[in-house]
Amino acid sequence: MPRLLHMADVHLGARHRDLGDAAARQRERQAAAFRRAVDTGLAERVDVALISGDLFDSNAQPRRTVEAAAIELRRLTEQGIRVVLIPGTHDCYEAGSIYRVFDLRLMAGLSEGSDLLTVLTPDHPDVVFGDLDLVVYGRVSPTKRASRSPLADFTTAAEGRARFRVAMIHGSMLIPGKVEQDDVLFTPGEVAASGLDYLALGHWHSWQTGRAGTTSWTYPGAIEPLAVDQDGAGRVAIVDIEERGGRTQVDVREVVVGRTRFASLELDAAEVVSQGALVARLLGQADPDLILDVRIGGIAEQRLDIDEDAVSRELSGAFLKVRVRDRSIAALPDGPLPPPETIAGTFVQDLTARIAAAEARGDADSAADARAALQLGRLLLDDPRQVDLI
Amino acid sequence: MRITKLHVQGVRRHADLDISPAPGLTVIRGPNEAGKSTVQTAIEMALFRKCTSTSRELQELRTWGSTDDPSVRLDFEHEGRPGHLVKQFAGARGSVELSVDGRVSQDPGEVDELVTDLTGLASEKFLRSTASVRHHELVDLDKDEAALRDRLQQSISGADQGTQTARRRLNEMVRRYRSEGTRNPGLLRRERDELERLRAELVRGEAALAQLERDRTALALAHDRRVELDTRLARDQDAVDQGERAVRLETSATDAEARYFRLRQAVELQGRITAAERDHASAMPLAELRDAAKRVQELQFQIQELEVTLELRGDLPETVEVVKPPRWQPVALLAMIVGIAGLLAIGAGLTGILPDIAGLGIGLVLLVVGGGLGVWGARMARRVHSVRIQAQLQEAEIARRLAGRSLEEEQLKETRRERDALLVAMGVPDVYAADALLEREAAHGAAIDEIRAELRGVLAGVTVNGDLAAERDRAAAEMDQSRHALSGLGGVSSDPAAARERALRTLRQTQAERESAIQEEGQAQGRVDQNTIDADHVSGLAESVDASQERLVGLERRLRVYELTLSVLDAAEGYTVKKAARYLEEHMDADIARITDGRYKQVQVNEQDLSFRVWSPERDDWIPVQQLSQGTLDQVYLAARLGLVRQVTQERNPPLIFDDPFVTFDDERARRAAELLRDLARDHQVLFLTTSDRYDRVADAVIELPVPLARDVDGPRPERVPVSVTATGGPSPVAAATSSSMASLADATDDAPIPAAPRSTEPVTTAWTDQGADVRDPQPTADEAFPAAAPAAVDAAFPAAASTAAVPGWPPATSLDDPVAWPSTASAWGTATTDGPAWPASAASSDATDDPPGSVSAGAGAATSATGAEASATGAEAPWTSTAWSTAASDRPAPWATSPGSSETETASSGSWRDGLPG
Repeated sequence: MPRLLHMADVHLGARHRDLGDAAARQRERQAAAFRRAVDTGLAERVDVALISGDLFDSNAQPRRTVEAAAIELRRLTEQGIRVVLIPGTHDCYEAGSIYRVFDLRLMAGLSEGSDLLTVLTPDHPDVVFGDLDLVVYGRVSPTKRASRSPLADFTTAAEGRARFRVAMIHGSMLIPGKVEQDDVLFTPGEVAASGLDYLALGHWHSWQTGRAGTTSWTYPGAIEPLAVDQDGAGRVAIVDIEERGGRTQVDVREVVVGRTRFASLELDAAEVVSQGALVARLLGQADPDLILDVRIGGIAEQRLDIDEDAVSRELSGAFLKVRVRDRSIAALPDGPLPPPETIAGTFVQDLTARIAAAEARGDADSAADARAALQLGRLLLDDPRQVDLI
Repeated sequence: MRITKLHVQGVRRHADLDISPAPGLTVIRGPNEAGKSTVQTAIEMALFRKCTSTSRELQELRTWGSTDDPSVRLDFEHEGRPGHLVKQFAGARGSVELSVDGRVSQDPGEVDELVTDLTGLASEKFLRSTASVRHHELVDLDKDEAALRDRLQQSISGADQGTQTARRRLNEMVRRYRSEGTRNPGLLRRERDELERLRAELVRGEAALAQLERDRTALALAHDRRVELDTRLARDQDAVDQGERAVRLETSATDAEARYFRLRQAVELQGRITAAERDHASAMPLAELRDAAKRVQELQFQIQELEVTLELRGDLPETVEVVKPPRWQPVALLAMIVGIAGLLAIGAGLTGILPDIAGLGIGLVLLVVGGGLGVWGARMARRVHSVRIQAQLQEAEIARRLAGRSLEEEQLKETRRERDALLVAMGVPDVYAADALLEREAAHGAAIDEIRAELRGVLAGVTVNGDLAAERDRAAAEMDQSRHALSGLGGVSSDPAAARERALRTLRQTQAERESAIQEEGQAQGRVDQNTIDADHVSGLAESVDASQERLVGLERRLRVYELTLSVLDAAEGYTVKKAARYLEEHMDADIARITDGRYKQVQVNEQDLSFRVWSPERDDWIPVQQLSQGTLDQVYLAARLGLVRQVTQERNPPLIFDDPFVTFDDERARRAAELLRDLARDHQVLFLTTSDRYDRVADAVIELPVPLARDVDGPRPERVPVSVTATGGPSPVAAATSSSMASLADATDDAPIPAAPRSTEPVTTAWTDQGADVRDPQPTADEAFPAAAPAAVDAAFPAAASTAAVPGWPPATSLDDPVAWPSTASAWGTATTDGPAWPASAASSDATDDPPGSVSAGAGAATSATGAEASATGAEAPWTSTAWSTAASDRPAPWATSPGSSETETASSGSWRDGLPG
């Protein structure tokens, strides 16, 4: 009765363009999460480790990244754990695929004929592990964008080589109204018709699991979250397949290996009295594993002028990354305005008219600029010494 | 709007103050620390300060030492109808009530709107920049060309500090952002350069990565191509091998076929030979036959010779006599026996058988006999031998003779026999037949040899092991086998050599392609190895580009905002100034005519900068107002300044507050300014805050504020903070008094509120309550607490105030017109200047201590030491420095006329044409 470790979307060497100087650290954290996933496989004494695509973030990864991955895979194979992986959409099996350029099997110290590490490709679509009574199919497209569903006309009904049938796909399951287009797309109906016991999926970065017909399927999600909306990331699946009462039973449980957390924080500018207060408030949520996206909205008090970079710098040690975006709208002056016969009054009138005109034509940026200018002008005219221009 | 009554509770030094300003000009007079500025603050609080001000703001407003919440009530009259405005400042519990035109509002926002509507003033700061004329505004107007227009612009700015600072700071920021210099580039340039650098590096990195991918793809393809060519090469090699095999098979078949045909011919020849061998004329081989024939010929010749010889012999005897030889053997035998017997006898004699002698004798005899017999026998034997030889010779002679015939006959017989035997052997009857046979046999043999030769020719080069027929069959089998194998090779069998050539050509081509592929693979591998680009590094660059872009967007946005603010501010200023210029031109002609006693009637205002020119009938041209006399210039400025107030307040005519703006004027300037105040008071309510009594005569009411009485004479002295201002020299009497009182105030704040101590001469319009006395009770007596407040001290410091205090109201009209009306002042200040640098600004400084937070004095530093704060304020604001003062002191003893511009010497030197001007 085979026990599987199922992971996907490791994205080694990924770019994190919104993380700035924390991006390199995040890449290291992804590698660490991969290591923990391997540790999980060893601790759970799995028979086979499945990596359902996008082990690498691109086919242009340097040799050392591939070697580092091979070292981790070797830890599994040295314990007799078979590793089966498929190319994904980032490391797709095109001409210059990383799996063509580098021989993972050799890099993991295995001989050419060893079945301890198998990369399933269109040329090598399945592998049978007789001792486990298990066949693993890799439904891999030779291109990034599949011309047809990987499960089109696929059925294991006639499979006679092994009792337990598992397939690996890197693509999206079609969900009407939610997921209707993707590079690789298949339908729940096709999954149900496949006759598989377990479908090890990759491509979605958050944990999803379900059943179609007699087939259990799981998206374990990215091994570390890559963006703010990936709350279900950072997991691997432990899958037990066994036969009970003449029927194949599949038990799937999740194990958390990722540590990075993304969080977004919406702040009302009215609650932020000063930059120092903002820093103090955010320090209250300090977490070295947290990537915090702070967005200040609402109407900003007149004297609030947040230096986003400065705040991020001040908090850099307390978080994995803090990004502060001040999207608040400058408050229009309250109370009596300066008389229109004054420079300040004319200034206010002019900018107020500009704001109204910009808002009328839907030019939010110009309106925001004009609001900020109005606020700044009011502050400067009120008392230029109290305004710190940066 | 005109204030009819102001009631202040718990605001700074006024624990409880009621004043009732006149509708026109009200002079609010008092020495330093009397709370004049607090009166202004109270009005500002009533009109503009939020009643929900924070406790920190309240703390600064509260009467020192008091915890009571400040409150201000303002009774006013607006367009003939009464109203009131009450504000209770209690933090969040603060309240406001405005009643005007029978309408009562307690909504702070609405009250603010109504106040703005009543006064035309929007804020406290706006009031200060418009309806409040501060003491420094009229300083240096004639010296600084820009001062007049800047100050006028400030009054229409609607801003506390005017627009200059705002514009300057915005311009600085725009420059800081926009600067394109390479040595000190602006923020935008720096970020753009950084972004450009990062982008260029990223482009290079991405290109290198793309190249790496291409190289890797090329490597993979080259690898695949090489593997494919390896396979093709193996296939081509197989084809070549097959071709060669076909060729070999074909050759083998051809060879086998050739051999077969030769062997088949050989077999036929062999058959013919065999047949010919069977058809020999003689069974005897030809050579033998030839030898036999030859022998027969020879024998036949011999026979013929012998026959001839025998014919020639015929007389030979038939027999020969034979001589018998004697026999010698018996003699010899006898001799031997006798000898033996002799030996035996000797032996017997020796052994004793016989007597010795006998035996020996007999033996010897016998031996002699035997010896003799032996010799005889030997002779006989020699004779026998000789006889036999003779006999043999004889017989031989006979035989020879006989043989002479018989031998020849025998020879003949033998020869014939031999000949016959040979003929028999040859199978021929005679010699002639033998020759014929030989001839035939020779011909037959030759024929066979010919066939053999042909056979040998046929078999030349053909290895024959054993039977020719078997060889032939093997060759046939080999040929068939090769042909069958060849046909099994398919297409190549038709023309194996051509097929092999084709395969070889293909092989060579494939080899060349493979070599090329290997080279390409090597090159691709080399390119991959040489491309040291690191995807992580490129990722970092991309991430840095994004961060830089984000920073740049932020900077650009800030710059847009700064530039927009600046441009709108510039436009607003241009528009407003232009409008103000037109307004002033329309409204100031009459003022100018009045101010100059009709000398100038037309004014021209520059709409760019509010600079003034007046029409000079003498010059028949426009002249800048700076060329007018100083006094006239003051008035023109004030007229313009207040004209602008009318404009910006849209002629709502708010109360005007003058914070001793003429303090530095000489008498003449002060007189003219006072006259202007009176004119102003027709349209505006004017509150004139001053320490001097010289405006009393033009006032509709004079409100005198009490002198603070507390003095620092007893008790522990607070720790002093060293103050740098001491560098100005020893304190003047005024400075000493002020600092003393300031220090005492500082002490007093630690104890209890300082009441408004009643003075011996109560101001007529000041309604002091009894509360002051009640509050003062627990304190030391006024004289003890404020010894400097004793009349003598006050007189010394403020001689003019002292005289006014004695006679409330407007002083004699001559006091302002005649300089000699200020003897005590001159004397007092003369003393002060003699003793050292005076503190002429101390009055202003002490006022500054009453300024609300954010004012110059507050900004100058914390008032840990009142003296320090005061000195800082002096340095910051007072233009009448000790240098200016010393000049004024030498020419004009009046302490108020400290403006450098007031020097007559300087005025005279400005040009003779000014002499004719008024002022």
